[in-house]
Amino acid sequence: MGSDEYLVELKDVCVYFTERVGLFRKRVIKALDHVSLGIRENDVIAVVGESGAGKTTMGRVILGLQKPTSGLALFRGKDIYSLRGREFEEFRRSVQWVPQDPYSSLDPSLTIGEQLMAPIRRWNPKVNAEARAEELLKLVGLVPPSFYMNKYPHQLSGGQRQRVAIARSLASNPRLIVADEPVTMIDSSLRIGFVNTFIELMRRSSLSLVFITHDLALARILLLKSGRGRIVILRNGRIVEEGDVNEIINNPKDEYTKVLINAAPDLKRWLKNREEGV
Amino acid sequence: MPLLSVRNLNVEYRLPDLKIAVKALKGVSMDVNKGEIVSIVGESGSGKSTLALAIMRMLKPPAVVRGGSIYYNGVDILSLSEHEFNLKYKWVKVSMVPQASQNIFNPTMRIKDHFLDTARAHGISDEAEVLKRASEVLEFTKLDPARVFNLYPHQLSGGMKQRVAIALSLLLNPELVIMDEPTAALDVVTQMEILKLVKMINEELGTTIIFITHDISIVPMIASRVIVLYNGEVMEIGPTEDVIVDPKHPYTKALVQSIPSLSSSPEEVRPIPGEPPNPLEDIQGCPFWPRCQYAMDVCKVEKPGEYNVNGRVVRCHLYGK
Repeated sequence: MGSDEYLVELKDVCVYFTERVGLFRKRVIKALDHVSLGIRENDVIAVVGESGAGKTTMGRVILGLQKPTSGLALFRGKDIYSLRGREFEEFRRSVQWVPQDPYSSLDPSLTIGEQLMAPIRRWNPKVNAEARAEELLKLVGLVPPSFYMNKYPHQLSGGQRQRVAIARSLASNPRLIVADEPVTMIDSSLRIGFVNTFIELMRRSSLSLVFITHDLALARILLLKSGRGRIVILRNGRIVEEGDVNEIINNPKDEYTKVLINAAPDLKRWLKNREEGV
Repeated sequence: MPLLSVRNLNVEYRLPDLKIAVKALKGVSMDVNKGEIVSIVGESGSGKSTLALAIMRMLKPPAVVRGGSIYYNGVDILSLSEHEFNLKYKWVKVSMVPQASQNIFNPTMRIKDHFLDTARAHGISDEAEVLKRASEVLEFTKLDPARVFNLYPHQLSGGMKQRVAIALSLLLNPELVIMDEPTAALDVVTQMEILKLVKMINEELGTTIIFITHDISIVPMIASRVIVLYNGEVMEIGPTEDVIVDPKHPYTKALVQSIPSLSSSPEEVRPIPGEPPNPLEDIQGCPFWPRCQYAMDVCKVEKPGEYNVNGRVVRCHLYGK
């Protein structure tokens, strides 16, 4: 087994899905192909890649939702998929996620307060759930919390709903949050506000973040603002590049990274090219 | 004369349960010139899709047009009977790629049948003729008709579905296509391909395009002019370059600053202050004043008029006398 230097560690993880093609033939889809990744305490990892690159599958392996076909996924040095009882409870409490779509991830029949108080009571029965829920709402920038507690999801905007989803992921006091494209459904002008919220959460408590996105510029700002962490570029289930974000953007080694950089909409680059008459 | 001219358009969503009307568009005026790609930029709830649906006359209750006109080549299309509009304009002259085109297809119908169905709705029943035309538009969007025709929607990727939706909009060879967030659910690489396709449609077919997006950073890649909407009102209209290099309206300025580039320093990317407006609340004066760092007393009581600033339309009291 691995060392417990890492909070979560993926060691040579493969996730293969078999798809039936016709009556007898099968095709193997390699969603993740020999992926290794170490996530420390207080770590920030931005995972970037296009649709189908394996980003979500990687998130699911980390969350204990997708057992690898081969390789190991470790939580504090122990195989996540063999954890039982209290050890599994501890893993579940420590590793939480923020799903992509705030329009389907909240329960439409529960008020915001109820959706937050349920996991708070589940993980921490002694605490005053209502007070804690209000505290979480404040943390994610929904102020005043009393305004939101009795509202239903349909009364909130997409951005506000996604903030509720983030607040809910904090209910168990996790050590690691896997945010799977948390801003994809959010207006581009609001995304920077979410980055600031994550930075603020990490500043306040010991929290690691795996931020899955296809927005390279936003991933870069997240990493620069948090002053640590690294970027991981995924393609066809493989990590093609990993390291310091500026280093990779200024000097991409992999062809695919170059494609991602060139396809990223970029107002400043556009302005520069325009001045130079390109 | 502009190809399309929207004048003082007001649209409300009437919510009888709440005994209120949400004003989705408030006195919107804008022009679209023949042969151009013009982009309408705004955040969720700014009225972009409502404007697109109003032009297509596809607004459904509780949405109602409460005044204003939409001229197409000088004809007020809001005053036409529904029958006449459907016969002469809808899809024939003006068509649309709706928002979330990934989900517009009937999952039980093959792609081929979507084309036949659309043509039939416009009284064209010669199947061979329709399929010939459908093949042309599919090929134009870089899809192989022989392969795609017999597939069901779930067998296509997101990018391919977007291409089919664009091909469908071109079926009856319209002069104007309204594309509502055509790249919203796509990753950046696919987004780039779709933007190239949209440009090609404009350049090679001469189709005029209204390109609706919430992401101002893709506008310079596609549009020569941009219309900035906020809370159902026009804030600024002008050539893309001018608007992005030197935004005049404080909202446009804040919008441009909120989006990071690959070389932005962390300090220069700033969220727009305050909260997006609540559509249920009617804001007196300029809709942006609660979030505006330049707000003056007059902004809170009086709606700014349309000021002409270096050939640009800017609705902001900063530019009043």
